[in-house]
Amino acid sequence: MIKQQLHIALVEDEVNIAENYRDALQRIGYRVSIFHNRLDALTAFALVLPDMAIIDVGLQDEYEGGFELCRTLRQLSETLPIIFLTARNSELDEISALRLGADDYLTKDVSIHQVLARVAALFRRIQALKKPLSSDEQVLNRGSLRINVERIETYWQDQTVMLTLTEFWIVHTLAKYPGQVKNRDQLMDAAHVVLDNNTITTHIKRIRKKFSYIDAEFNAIKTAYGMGYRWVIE
Amino acid sequence: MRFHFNLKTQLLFVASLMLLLPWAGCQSVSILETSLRQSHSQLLDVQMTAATQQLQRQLNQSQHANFNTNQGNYYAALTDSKMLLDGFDGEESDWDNITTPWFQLNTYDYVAELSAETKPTTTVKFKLAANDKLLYIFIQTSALTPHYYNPTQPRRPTDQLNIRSINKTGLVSHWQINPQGSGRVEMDNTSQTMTTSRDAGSWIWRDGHYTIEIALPIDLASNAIGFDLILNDQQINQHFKSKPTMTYERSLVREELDLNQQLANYQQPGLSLYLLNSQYWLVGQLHADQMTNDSDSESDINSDQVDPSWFSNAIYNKLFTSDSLPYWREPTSLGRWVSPQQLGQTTWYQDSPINKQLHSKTMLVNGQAFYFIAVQDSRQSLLSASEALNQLLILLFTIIAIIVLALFAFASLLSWRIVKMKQNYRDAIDSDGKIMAVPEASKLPDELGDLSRVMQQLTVNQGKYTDYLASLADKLSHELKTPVAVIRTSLENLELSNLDPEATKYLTRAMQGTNRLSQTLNALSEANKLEQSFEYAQWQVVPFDDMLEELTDAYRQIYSRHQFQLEYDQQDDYTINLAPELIVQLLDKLISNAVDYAPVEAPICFKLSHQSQYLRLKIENQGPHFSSDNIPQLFDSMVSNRKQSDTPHLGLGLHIVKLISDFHHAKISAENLPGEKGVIFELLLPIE
Repeated sequence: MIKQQLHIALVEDEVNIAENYRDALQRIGYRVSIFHNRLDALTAFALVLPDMAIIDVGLQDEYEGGFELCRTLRQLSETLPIIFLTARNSELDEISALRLGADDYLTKDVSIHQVLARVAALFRRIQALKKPLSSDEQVLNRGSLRINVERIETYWQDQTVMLTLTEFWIVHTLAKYPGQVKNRDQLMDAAHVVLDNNTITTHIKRIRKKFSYIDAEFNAIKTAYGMGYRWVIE
Repeated sequence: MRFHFNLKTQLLFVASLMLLLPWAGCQSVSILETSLRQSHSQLLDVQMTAATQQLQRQLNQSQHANFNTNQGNYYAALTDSKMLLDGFDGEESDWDNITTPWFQLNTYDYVAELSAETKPTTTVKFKLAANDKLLYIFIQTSALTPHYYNPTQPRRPTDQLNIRSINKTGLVSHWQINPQGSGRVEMDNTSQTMTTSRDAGSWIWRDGHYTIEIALPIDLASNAIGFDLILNDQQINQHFKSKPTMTYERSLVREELDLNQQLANYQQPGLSLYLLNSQYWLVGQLHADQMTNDSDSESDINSDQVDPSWFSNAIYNKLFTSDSLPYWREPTSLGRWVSPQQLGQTTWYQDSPINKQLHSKTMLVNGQAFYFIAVQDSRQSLLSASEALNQLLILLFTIIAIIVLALFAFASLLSWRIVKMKQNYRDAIDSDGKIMAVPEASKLPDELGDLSRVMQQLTVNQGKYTDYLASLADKLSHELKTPVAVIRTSLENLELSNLDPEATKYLTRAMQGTNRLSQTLNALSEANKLEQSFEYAQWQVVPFDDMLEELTDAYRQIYSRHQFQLEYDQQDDYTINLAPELIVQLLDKLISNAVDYAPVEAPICFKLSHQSQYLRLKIENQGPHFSSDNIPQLFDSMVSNRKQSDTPHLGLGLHIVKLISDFHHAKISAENLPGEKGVIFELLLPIE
């Protein structure tokens, strides 16, 4: 029932795709509004914010209209979950999107099932964040690392590490069984994304960097050449 | 070796045409020399005419005018030394230097007993020489038996020499020598009322013949001389006489010192003067010293000049010696002029490297012809000309050297600009046609500058085109992704609705096709993304052997049907700085490629070793050969070099391998193993 009240704004200039996603999302109970350009979306958002925004990067004649929209939305709400769903798969675009405060970045070659899974996961995280902290929450403690699975929050030496959903699931998968090598496929499964090998590498790199901001000595993610990565507790 | 006819050589060749200038200079100097020679010749003619008149006058006034040369002459060479009258006639005797002719005394007035058939068995020859005091006479006979005068038997026939001499005043003197044995003799002047004797010289009998060497006062024999030699042979006297008459003397011709002194007035460098009597006997001469000795002539010619090099000599010889002229020969022999036909005309001769001209004038002295001859070499004109030539050549060669150097420098500059441009553009474009950096264009306003600017524009354009091509796959994949997404999402929605089994079958196929298309699009953009990710590559120092151990373990797990082997020297250190993630990606591609083709029964081998400054990794598998004609293109994108495997194959794997290898400045190569099957990849990673 809660789901029906959830409102997803789909900003996508490609009518067919937008409607296909809308159909799929509606089928599992979300309310979906489609906007084909940034101005329409902004006009609507000025009246009421949706519960989630799924935005394409290129919007009609605005090459980076999605980014603009994301920036505006972040000004309107710090917590509004934003997912980019785009045909662009360059690393630069992905980094830009995440810097602007997007929660996830998906390319259009992912299946609808993955999109639905991501949407669900992101809602779950929001719900978890809204709930008061309770003792029965599922928390993973690995040395300096603490992961709140329900709230999808990560802490290193008691400081929050700002991870995207994909990054969160990668860290979670690795840290769940320390020492065990997780190959790329396993990491992709955990993150509910289909990514090429290189993208996993990029994610790992970015995760290491984020931990390094807090702890310059951070060295918990080890590369098992050709196999994958493992979490090591010092 | 193939001759490289480059720009520099071509310009040098053209510049060498400048050498025509010295040739032209030489020609003009040659003309100058000819004209100088001719003017010199004219001057000489004028001088000779004056000298002839002067000489003629002097000869007419002097006693030389009394020369009676019509009846034949004896010629006495001028000797400046005092001769030793020792009768010695061997080598190094005083007479060796006297090159005048031998005269013959003939037999006349045979005694009655001597039959006409009997030829005299003895011959008598003599030669004469004179200085300012004495007339030297040297007589030689052939084999005979000596008959000496015995004072005790004065009537007995003996060998005897009678000499008649006439001096300038016409005074006749009779001289008689009666040898009393071999040795010194005296001669008696029998022309005077009272016979006087004086030392005559030597009368030597040796080796069966007489050698008589005597001297008379020249003043008594200056006009004519005659000989009457009586020799006894087989008891019969033979008379050897100058002439068959009582007055058997002949006029004596000799070189006159005073004439020579007169000729000395006309002395000039390179000038020889000769005075001949009507019988062409030399009565006075003045030799140009330098010309007397042929062997020294060349060095002497330029003795007062800067010593010329062989090069100058060669040029003079070539320039100033005219082959059309007859060769010079000494004109006098045995005191006589050799070729009287030379006289009366001006003749040119060649005497390398100089030429000689012969002028002659005829003068009449008391009705007899005398010849005054001048031989002048072209030394003066040659010296002037050669001096001019030297200066001209120095000037020309200096100018030529400057011009050639300037041209050479200019050619070098052009050549350097072209070579630099070539190198710039060679470095600007790598083997894949990618523009590394656009070279700076020349700002110079000439054609090469234009060329450089055009080349730069071309490079920029090519760079744009290459960039366009490089981004084409990415753009294409991006553009196709949206329609693919439409299809995919539509199919997925369809999947969620309840379809009958027939429709589900086609839906599944459509999904498979879409997935494959999606994978292809991903692969297309992968190479491009890889290049972007190089910016973020993390370099690490890793032990490569350990890394390979881990990797082979991983490959054994992932490709469990295949076998993997790793060979390396455990003692060696394989630490190297690289971007491990990228190298793993590279190896993944190579192994994925190997696994696609290699048979499961044969292992895939890694062989790690050192090769000078490189780590060498060889990856061998027993898969089918590459088609041998285009192995080098194997690493280009969209090239698949072997039989297609079951999985879709875009030929991007090895291209990615190449990109990563290039990023590490490594060298990657592939080759077929000898035999039916098997291929090997070799990766050389620089250690530093």
